[in-house]
Amino acid sequence: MRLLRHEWLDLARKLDWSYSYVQERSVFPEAISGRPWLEQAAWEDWDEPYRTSFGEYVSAQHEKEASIVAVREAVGRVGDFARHDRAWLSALKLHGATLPLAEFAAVIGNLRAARFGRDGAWRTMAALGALDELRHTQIPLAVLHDLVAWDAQFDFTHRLFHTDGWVAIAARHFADELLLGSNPVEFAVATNFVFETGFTNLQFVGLSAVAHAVGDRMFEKMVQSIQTDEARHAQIGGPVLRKLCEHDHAYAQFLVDKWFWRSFHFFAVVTGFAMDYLTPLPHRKQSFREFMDEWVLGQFERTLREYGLARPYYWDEFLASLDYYHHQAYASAYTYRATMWFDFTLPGPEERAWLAEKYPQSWPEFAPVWERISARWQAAGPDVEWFTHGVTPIGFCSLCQFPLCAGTPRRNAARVVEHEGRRLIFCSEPCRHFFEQEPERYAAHETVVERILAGKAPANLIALVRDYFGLSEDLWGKDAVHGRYDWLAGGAAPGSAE
Amino acid sequence: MKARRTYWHLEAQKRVPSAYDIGSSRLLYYLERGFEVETPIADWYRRHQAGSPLGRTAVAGFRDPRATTYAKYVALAQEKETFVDGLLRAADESDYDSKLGTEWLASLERWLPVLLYPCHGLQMASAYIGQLAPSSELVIAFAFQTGDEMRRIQRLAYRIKQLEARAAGFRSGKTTWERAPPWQPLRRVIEELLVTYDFGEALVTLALVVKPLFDAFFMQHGGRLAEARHDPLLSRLFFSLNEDCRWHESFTDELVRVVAASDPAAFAFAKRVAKERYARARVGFSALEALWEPGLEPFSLVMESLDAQIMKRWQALGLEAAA
Repeated sequence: MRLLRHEWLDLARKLDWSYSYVQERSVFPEAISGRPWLEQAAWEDWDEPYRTSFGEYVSAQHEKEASIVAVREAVGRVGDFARHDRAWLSALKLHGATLPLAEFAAVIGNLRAARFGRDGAWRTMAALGALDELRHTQIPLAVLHDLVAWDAQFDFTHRLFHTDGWVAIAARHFADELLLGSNPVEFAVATNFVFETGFTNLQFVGLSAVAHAVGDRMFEKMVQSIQTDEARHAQIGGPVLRKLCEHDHAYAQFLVDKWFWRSFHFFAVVTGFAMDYLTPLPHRKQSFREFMDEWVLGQFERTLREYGLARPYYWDEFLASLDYYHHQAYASAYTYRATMWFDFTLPGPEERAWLAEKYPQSWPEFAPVWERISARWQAAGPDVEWFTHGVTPIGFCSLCQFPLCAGTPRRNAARVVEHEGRRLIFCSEPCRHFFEQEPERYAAHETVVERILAGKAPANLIALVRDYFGLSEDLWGKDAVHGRYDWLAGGAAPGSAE
Repeated sequence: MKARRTYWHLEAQKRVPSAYDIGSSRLLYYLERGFEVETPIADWYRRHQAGSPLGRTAVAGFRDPRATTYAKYVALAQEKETFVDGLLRAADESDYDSKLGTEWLASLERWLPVLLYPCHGLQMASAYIGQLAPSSELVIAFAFQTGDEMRRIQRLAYRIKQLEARAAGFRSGKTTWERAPPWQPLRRVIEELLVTYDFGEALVTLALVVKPLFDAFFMQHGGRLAEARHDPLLSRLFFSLNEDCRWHESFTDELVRVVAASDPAAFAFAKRVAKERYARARVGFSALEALWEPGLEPFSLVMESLDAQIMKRWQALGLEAAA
């Protein structure tokens, strides 16, 4: 008698029993299982919306792997990448480096949920999630590996997280709290619900559309293939959040607020840079802001309402920052490009006109910044990288570890706080707020500047970049064309965006 | 630019890096530097991973002898699943279940439906070691082992569900697990395994003691019993599930050889834990005598052959002095 999946799978999902020889609290200690600590009976109605059996999983995944191999053979060779615009290659280097080892931290987070999740069905789904995240570790490592011999900056696909550059520190600070050091309850809300569900369209729709427009079929297929896995295991988030809302509504709201803010910073840099600066102009479809408005915000707000949660308390500040944050970050990064492992492009008159149209409110404040940088390139001539580069280390936020670039060019949003005799600085009010909610998590961490002041890192920027960030001159970021822009040579640039 | 052939950490390796090297090596960035954020789990790792007598230096040289990447894992698993689907389809077409002997069904009823629960315990223990292992190659091996345990549970569940139509006992696996006296010692073994949090102790207890006993008792001996009782479907299903277990055993053996070669103190610890835990775990299986009859041979012989099989492996690994 052949059985259908729904006839037998429940028997393999719901496998909790009452412990007799050890305490349930010892099998699921709160420190590693998460809070609120509830008896298993409170979780037993935990249910994922879409079921998958192991057999269905491996069969579907085997096919997906085969199609990745086919795409790789067809368009994933060095020659295929060499045809891309240099700015787009930078987008690849940025994504490539932030992805694989963070995905491996997600393998760990999922395996932890496969052990300490509070219901058998949750643990089973998380085990599949761990396998998915291993796939997302191995695909980019494999695809970008062959490019290392062609362009050594691709080495950072594996190396970034092993360095002490500021991006690596910020990325680890984020990944460690989100994935590696997270308990299954926080992981489900932060990773599955906010990061994977809330922001999924940025990757699945937005980034893959950009890759398609650029003609990068390899990256497009890779992102799409990865996101189909995310959609499956992200569904762990909803049922956990629902239970959390039932038992500790304030904590549920806190986790959503914290992780939306932290995730936004991450995506603003990784996806914001790609959409508004590193995609060649003819291939841009929507701005980062437009994309967030159309594909992320509405859906996120609707979902929050479904769970009876409010929009994060900082919502107005967040909406305003959509016009500013990634622009400030990019300008800051461009002028400190040697601190990173990929090259940057200087927005020219046409790009600036596009940005002015897309960001009518904020761009007039950014245009003068780029005019000054352009004027310095003109004054120095091509190849004189350091004439348009900062020379003293800049400040970093004591929470997110990104440069202090919230606010606007005219209004500094940084907050200074005394904490147990230490002067801490935050890029924004929410970063200060989240630090103060859980100082025991963050207080021991030192920003790059604190490491310099403590004598652990050199103060001289070149020494800092070389000896502490691990970037030799052949690797560190430069202007993508070393200042050889046609528009710059013609002298047409500086005021053209006004 | 300086010419490079491969990622930074593989440059010193003499051979061309394989897909396994590229996708599996040095993926844990926190081992050298700790966590950036001090969550309670950072402390858990300091105590149970960094503080374990069998730790990072002991396992650093481990590589999966099968060099299993994700792509290879799903390809192999899919093949095995196709094989099992074929077995089940053939059984469906031949009205297989109605031909099973009454006595055999009564025996199966006592133990087959219960297996889901200890198997889930083994899945949880495997995931625990996976998330805590201080080597990415080991994390990956245990992530796959966790997947294999899920496979075992789901295939057993399918078969149990089919047999529910034949006898009511197939519906009461959980109650039997929680209450039937012969199962209580094994339940105790599994529950104690779940609260074994030191990395080295959990690893040795699962991979060298509890799982080898469980796999040999049910998958191997149970499979032979099924064959003798004219139930080739179950015997072949167990054979397929045991193929996974053989790989778990093979990478564990490799791991033990690595530990022995690189960290004598950790190896001595492994030896001690294995010996202590074996005596306790064995009780869990010897208590099953009451429900295992009628067997192929006296139950004491089953246990002896189990001991002999495991001791032979331990001797080969140097965990036990040669007889």
